[in-house]
Amino acid sequence: MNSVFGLNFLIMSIMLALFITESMGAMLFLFHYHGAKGKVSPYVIPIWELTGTFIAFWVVTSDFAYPSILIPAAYIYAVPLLLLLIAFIGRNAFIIFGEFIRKSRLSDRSMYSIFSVFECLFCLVFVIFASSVVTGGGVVLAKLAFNAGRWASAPGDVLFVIGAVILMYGFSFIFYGLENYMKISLVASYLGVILELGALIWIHASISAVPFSPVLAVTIIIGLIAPILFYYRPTRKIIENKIVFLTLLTISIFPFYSLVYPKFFGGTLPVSDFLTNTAMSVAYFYITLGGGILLILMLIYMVYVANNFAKMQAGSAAKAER
Amino acid sequence: MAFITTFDRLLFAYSIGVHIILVTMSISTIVVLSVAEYLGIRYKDKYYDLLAKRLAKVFTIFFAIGTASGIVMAAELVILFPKFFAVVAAVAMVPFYLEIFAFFTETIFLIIYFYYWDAFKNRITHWILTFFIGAGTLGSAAFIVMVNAWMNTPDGFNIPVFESTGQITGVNPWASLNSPSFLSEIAHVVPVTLLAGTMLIGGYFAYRYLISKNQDDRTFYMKGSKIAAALSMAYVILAGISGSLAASELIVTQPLKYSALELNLIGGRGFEPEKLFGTIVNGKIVGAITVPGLQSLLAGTGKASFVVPKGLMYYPMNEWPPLIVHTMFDLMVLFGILIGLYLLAYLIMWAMKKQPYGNKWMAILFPIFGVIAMYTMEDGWVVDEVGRQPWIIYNVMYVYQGANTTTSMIGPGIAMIIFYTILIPVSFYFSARVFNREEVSKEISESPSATGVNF
Repeated sequence: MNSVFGLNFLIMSIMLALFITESMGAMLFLFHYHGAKGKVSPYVIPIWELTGTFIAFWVVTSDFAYPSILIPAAYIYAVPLLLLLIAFIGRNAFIIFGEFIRKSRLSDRSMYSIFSVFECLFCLVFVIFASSVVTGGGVVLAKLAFNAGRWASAPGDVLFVIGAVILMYGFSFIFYGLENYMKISLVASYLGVILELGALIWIHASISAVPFSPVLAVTIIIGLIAPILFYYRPTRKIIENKIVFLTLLTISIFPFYSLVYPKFFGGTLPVSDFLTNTAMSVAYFYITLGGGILLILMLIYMVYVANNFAKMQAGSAAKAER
Repeated sequence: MAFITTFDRLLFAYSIGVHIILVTMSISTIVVLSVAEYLGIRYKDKYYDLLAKRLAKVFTIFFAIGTASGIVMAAELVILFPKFFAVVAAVAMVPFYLEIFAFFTETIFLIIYFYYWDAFKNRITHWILTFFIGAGTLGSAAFIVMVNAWMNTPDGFNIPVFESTGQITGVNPWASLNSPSFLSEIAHVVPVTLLAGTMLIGGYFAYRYLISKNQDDRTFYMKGSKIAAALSMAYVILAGISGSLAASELIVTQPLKYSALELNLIGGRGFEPEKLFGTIVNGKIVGAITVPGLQSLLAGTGKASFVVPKGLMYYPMNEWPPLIVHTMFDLMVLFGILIGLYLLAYLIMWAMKKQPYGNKWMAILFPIFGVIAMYTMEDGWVVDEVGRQPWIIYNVMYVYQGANTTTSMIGPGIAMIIFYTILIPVSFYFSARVFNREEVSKEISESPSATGVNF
């Protein structure tokens, strides 16, 4: 695998892992607000800032890695991209409004609900965009345009998006440790895995150039094991741990590279044709290395402070009880 | 096609014009916040403590909206000017990429600073976090200015080959970190940005001071206002010096832009007069107030015989930027001087041991100059960007060559403009509400609330 491509895909996997967990929180805000707010807010409220930065990170790293794809991509995906931008601004604005608003005619719940709608819209458009990059669904290359109707007429792509949404819903209870919803979680998670598997098989059957690679087994195994770990009490705390879950999610997203490498758009366009020049690749590598180390150190410090704070709060609570 | 190119221009100009306001508020707020927190610790002053806490909320709000609009900028550059950005991505992407790590620094330290405020028993450690947030915020801005400087004075690839074949060769990825106009541009952008935001913050404090009835509120807003004024005094001096250097740099690197800003039709001579306002009609300068020899004197740093670059008549008219930039430039300088004079009066009153707001007009004028400072900063960007027209990359690529001419994005583009138009006043209103919704006396006695993730 080309290192520039691999690095870019890894960054996208981490970004998506963060974004998906946040979107799962948004789903819970929408459908189980009272039962979930206490568990969702303490994660989503600080982390949304980091997720946003990771989205910017992925956008810039993609511009860096594939400069010559920008021109066709801008023409083809201009409308979906502008929709993504509007959803992104709405997401940021309304989560911050929800965070600081005090009781008035507009409650924090209404702000978080609007945030959740924008978040889910962003997620939906992004998944549609991703499926289109994999299969070329909806893309009219000759006209450099995207036709949403044409995309919707491809059953594999539609199934892929529905499966992803159901899977996220099922996993949301696991990530946020909502044990009261265990049965819904199990049903939704496995239904999501089955639909995703069906979508991939369908896509492969209709577009043979889109491979059904063995590395996807990693994703399927993680998808099958996670609900079981949540179901059994001794392993529940392990899978509910935020870092463990995020790591597993990143690992399960990464194998999707096999659907777009070495060729994407339904196996029509080689990735290598769009990669940046050698001089920029070298710069890309060194900056990612240096910046990545800096980023890891900062994240370690953040987790250290957060855990100390949690211990401090637990200590204070115990003292108050005594 | 010309219509779509104009639409692209307007959409991007509007978006970036709004984005700059948000960024300016973030950059300025973090400095005022840092000073307030330090004074709170140093003098055990609860007013400064409260000021820091309230400003932290405001900073978080501007950060949230600013982050979103920053990503909008990155994406709009690609969507609206794909051919331009393809060149940037192949040649000048390093500053954009470094900016992301500055952005991470800002984000992560902001999360630690704001959401885990009470985790720090040593308050100096907590205060030090503001340096990291500030470094991230200013670093982000500096890296983006690097790209802008590169657009003004491009290098790092074989330009003649690109112009003749469209092929990008001889790439030096690191050259964009130090393009010829970068130092003069960043030296001016930083103090001007800080000045604009700080004046607006100080102006808001002065306004609140004026309408407050409660003594605690008045003390609180007076203290905040003094921090903003003191910082603004330093910034205005730096802005003046760096502005002069930036103009001198234009003479060397962008002589056509310089001639347009100064309305030099002929140029190329010493003892050149300064033309205040006016324009060119039918090859003649009309409506200008002329001050003999002043332009050469300023450009030559005191040397009246300094020969300014050849004027506009030596360039094809289709390469002239719109001459409105001359008026915008003069307004920028005029307002800069007025702001400087106001701050000088403030300093004199302060130095004479008088309360700056002993004279009510000083408090009334502060918000007015706050708005003027923000306008002046935007004006400066218009001068810089419109002054480079018709080029998107100076002497390399015209705007129309880089633009996306798809009509399908007009709808979402208009939606974007409407969305921004609603969002920005709402954001400012919300920030103000969050800042002053509680009484100062009540809040001073309360302990801060806390939240956070348990990893």
